[in-house]
Amino acid sequence: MRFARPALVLLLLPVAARAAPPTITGTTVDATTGQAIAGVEIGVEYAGRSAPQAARTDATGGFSVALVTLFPGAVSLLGEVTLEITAPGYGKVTEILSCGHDGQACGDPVRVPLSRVAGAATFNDDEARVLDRLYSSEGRTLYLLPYDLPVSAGPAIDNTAFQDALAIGINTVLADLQLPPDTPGIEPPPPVGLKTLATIHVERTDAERVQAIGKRLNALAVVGGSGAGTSSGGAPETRIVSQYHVIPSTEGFSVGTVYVRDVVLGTPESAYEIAEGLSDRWALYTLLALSIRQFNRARDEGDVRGLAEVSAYLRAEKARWGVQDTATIRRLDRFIDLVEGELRRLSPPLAGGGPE
Amino acid sequence: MGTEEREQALALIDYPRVVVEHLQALLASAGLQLPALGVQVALLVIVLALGGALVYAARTGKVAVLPASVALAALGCAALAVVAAWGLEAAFPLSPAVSGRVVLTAPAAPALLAEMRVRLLDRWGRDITVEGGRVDSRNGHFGLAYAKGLGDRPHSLRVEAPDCRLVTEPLPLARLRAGGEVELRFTCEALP
Repeated sequence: MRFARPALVLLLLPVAARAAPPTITGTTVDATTGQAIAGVEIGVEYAGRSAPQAARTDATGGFSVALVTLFPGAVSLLGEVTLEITAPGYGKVTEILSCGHDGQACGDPVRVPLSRVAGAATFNDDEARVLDRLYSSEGRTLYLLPYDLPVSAGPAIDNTAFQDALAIGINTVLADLQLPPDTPGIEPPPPVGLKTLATIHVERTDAERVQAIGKRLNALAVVGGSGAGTSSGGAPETRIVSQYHVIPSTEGFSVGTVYVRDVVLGTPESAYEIAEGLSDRWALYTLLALSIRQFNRARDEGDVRGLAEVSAYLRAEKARWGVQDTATIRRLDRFIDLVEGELRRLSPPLAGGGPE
Repeated sequence: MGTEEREQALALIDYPRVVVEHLQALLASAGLQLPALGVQVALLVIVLALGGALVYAARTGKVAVLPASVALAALGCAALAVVAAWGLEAAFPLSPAVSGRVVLTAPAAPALLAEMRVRLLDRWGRDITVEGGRVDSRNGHFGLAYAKGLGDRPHSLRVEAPDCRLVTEPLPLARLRAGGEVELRFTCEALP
């Protein structure tokens, strides 16, 4: 029996090693500054079981999760541990670690960079959820803050009728855009969508917060305004002033916040009637917002056709305005120059290309 | 073994399962939802019962010996096929896990991947996922383990994301057998 004890020790060694509680450790840091973030919630899923609030980071941003303590006796088929990391003001991160079937091989400490969400500081959790639900994946949506339209003082135009009228008015002009004859194969821009931001509280004059909301939504624009019913020579009319916050911008050209004034005469019976009387500036600013977004994408991707489309849209829009609209023409010219400069840069003339 | 030969060998191994799945579909169209094992057992019971009846009929002289022998041989082949299918499934089991990657085809809200779930569904659209299903928000990776209920397998993958329409992608047997990563292309079509 001389060898019995060492043999027993050897037999028990792997058992002893396996018995040590496997622990996942890590640090959460700000993706931009690299600074540790304290108070971050760490949720864990393992072997089909979950612990939504398994740990919280300390002052150094560190956390530690003992799998065996959290899920005693659990054996994973996948050998994966899922960490769900949430912190106020930062985007949620889900990180999947390969930890072996018994959770023993999770390896080195994890470093989780968290990215600040655009305008996060100005939104609470409920608002952030609403904004994420309304997010425009295509980036082709105008968001309307509810208008202040007192129906008692004049013709009844409610928010729904006005939103419908805007959708009809803007998309009709975009679809009918007369593109220059030297741009064969280029089609007018597809229609934009309109959504109402009813549950988010924001003053339409708070440009900073409106911009933060617009960026978070990937919006083309955020629009709000008010109207008042009046009587002009006995005929009723509604005067509406809108603040149009254009969200996309590019180096060398931006629109920012502009105003649109509309006068709706009489008592319109449908959204079509309201749409007929809307200012041409609705389509102008929407086209500028669309063009800026497409210009940024096409420039970044080196998409010559995309730039050519933007150029065609802008030139078609310019043709809709008379020479007396000097400021608008000048603004469009400035953007056209920018787009065509980029086009020349991306598609230089062929060497010795011209006839001799 | 080349890829083509390997695929042919795998197709041969999976042939009995394919036959059973066709039978399952046939029974389902008649309103009978049976698991794969249920179909196989039912088939074996029917074959054995028919075989017994045939032997009895041949012994009592109700059926001539030659046609009875031919029919018995055919029934024996069917029974052997069921047993062979069990053997093949035991020798070459399907992986109990499916892994893959979700690729977003359009820009999406930053929280979309972090909130997404992927589930494995059986032939009847029931969720059979027992583990995993979360998506790594850095790279779209996901892992899934499923409950192998009575010889059945996952038939599709369903992607769930908040406020987006559900997206279901079929998971053919060959794709499941081949292993590797499944790529799911996902566009969030907003719910009304």
